[in-house]
Amino acid sequence: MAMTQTAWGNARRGADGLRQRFGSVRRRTAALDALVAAAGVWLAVLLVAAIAAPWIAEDPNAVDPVMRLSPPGTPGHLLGTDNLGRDLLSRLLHGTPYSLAYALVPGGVALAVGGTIGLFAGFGGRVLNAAIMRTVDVFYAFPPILIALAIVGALGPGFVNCLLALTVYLVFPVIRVTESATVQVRSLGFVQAARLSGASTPMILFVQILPNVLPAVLAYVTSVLGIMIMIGAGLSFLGIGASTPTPEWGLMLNELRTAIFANPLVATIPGVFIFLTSFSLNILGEALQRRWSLRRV
Amino acid sequence: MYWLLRCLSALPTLIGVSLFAFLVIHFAPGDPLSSLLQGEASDAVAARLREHYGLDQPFVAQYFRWLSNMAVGDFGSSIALGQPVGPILFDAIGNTLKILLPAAVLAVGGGWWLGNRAGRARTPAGRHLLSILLPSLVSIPPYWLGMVLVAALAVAVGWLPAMGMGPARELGGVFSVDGALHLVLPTVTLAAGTIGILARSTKAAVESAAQLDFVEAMRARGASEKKINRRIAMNVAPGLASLYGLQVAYLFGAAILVESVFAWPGLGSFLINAIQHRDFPSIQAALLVLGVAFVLLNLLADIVQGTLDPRVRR
Repeated sequence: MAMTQTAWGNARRGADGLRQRFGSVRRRTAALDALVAAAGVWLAVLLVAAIAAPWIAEDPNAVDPVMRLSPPGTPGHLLGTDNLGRDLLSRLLHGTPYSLAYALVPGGVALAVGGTIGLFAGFGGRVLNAAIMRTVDVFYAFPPILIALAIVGALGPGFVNCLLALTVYLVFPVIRVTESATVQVRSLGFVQAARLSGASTPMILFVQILPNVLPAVLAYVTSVLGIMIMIGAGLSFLGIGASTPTPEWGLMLNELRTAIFANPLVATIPGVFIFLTSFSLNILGEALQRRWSLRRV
Repeated sequence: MYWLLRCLSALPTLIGVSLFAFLVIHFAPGDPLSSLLQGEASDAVAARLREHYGLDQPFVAQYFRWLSNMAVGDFGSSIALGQPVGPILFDAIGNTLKILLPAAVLAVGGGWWLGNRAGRARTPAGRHLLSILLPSLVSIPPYWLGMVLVAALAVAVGWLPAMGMGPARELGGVFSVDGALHLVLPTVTLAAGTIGILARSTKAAVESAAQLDFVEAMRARGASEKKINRRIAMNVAPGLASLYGLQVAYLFGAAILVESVFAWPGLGSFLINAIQHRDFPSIQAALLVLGVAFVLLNLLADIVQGTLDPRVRR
């Protein structure tokens, strides 16, 4: 009863708000959509670049000491060259797969592993739930970067170990989000109706609960992919990720660090790519969360 | 009673934290001493080293010995430096705190102010600006922001020192003009991302609180907008307290990414150095000290929230 009243109240307020500012609401969404579209275009360009880099870009490791630290716009070097005279644009294009891997590999694995564990934690009994969630709490006691660092510290520096560290880092919040979404959904009327009508447990889990939980979890994972790219590149920037001469963006930024006094513009260019990619994923994640968040149900 | 139970519930987490800090190094393939035993160390030397670091004993015995040593302030000896870990670690944490504490104030103040401003923004232009500004702050890589700020404010115009601690190396030097100037860029860089995260959550809370019935009632009674805004802020503050606490604690993580840009000899440099040398006593000690600090900070944030908003004491 109380729920119905609140729902009605929200609907009424929503309608009033829409009537009051209909024009501005529409314009606002249009501008927001443009931003989301721009983010999508940037990510699509990166995806194409990741695949096509060997054909469209030059050798990322061809050094040209004469042309060291040329500014952007130098003929033949659209974005300039680094401290060894290597073409920055070519290196950035060849580095795209590494950066996308920071998002896609941990995102995919954490979604599969964390999602499964979270689903069982939310759907299983109290003991299972407590056992899983208290373990997750332990990892919440560290700032996320520290967990990634601890794992790289244990396994040793390297790009693959960084991917592993980012995956572990992401699994725990995914478990938490999936668990809380599952607990919310399982108490809803249609799940109880399915149970009363005699549906089996796997049937309820995969037909009733999973499709309702998945969008919320997917939206969450998308919203943190930007951070994953930022931290992945950060680990390489710190010198414990990819090793030279890999054209990895964070490592490139690190190698150009000393150039900041000689040619600040060139030195910060790899960072622009990290920022734009992270920003685009954040915008996309926010858009998905607005659309798919459970609160809307 | 609630406080007692809440404190007790932190105990299992503390034990888990200590287990993680102790065990993480043993997940690695190979020997924790591999960096010391490179080349032609004889078996006798290896055995003596293993005994020195207690690695010849069973896991459980190692864990309890390690934990009881930690409890009395013996943090082991660093493999990379051959010196006790404790003083080096606490010196590093002290240096990190010199930028972390001002950054925390800046992040909490800035995030709260910006979030409240953003939650009240009505004009389309203002909202468009915010819909770009807030995600930008959240997704800006701190190490890159640091480089950009150095390029702009230190190299180009020369207003601020580019890197290092200067006189701020000593505790008293923090309060000298030159020392304080050395703190500015690392502090701002560290706070930026957290300002974005806090502002985003505060904005959402303010926007949904503005929909509540009491706002309409106040407006109907003719209360001034200023008063309404203040009441909205009071309404959202308790719900946000624990998020603010958590984000301030997470500044330790961001500091690791920031310090490297400014050659700041804090926790980040300590950990990176330890990782590069596979210096497991240092990594274990840092993880334990930080993990325990976070559990306690979280506890504090929960207690603050429980005091401000008794409803959360279920």
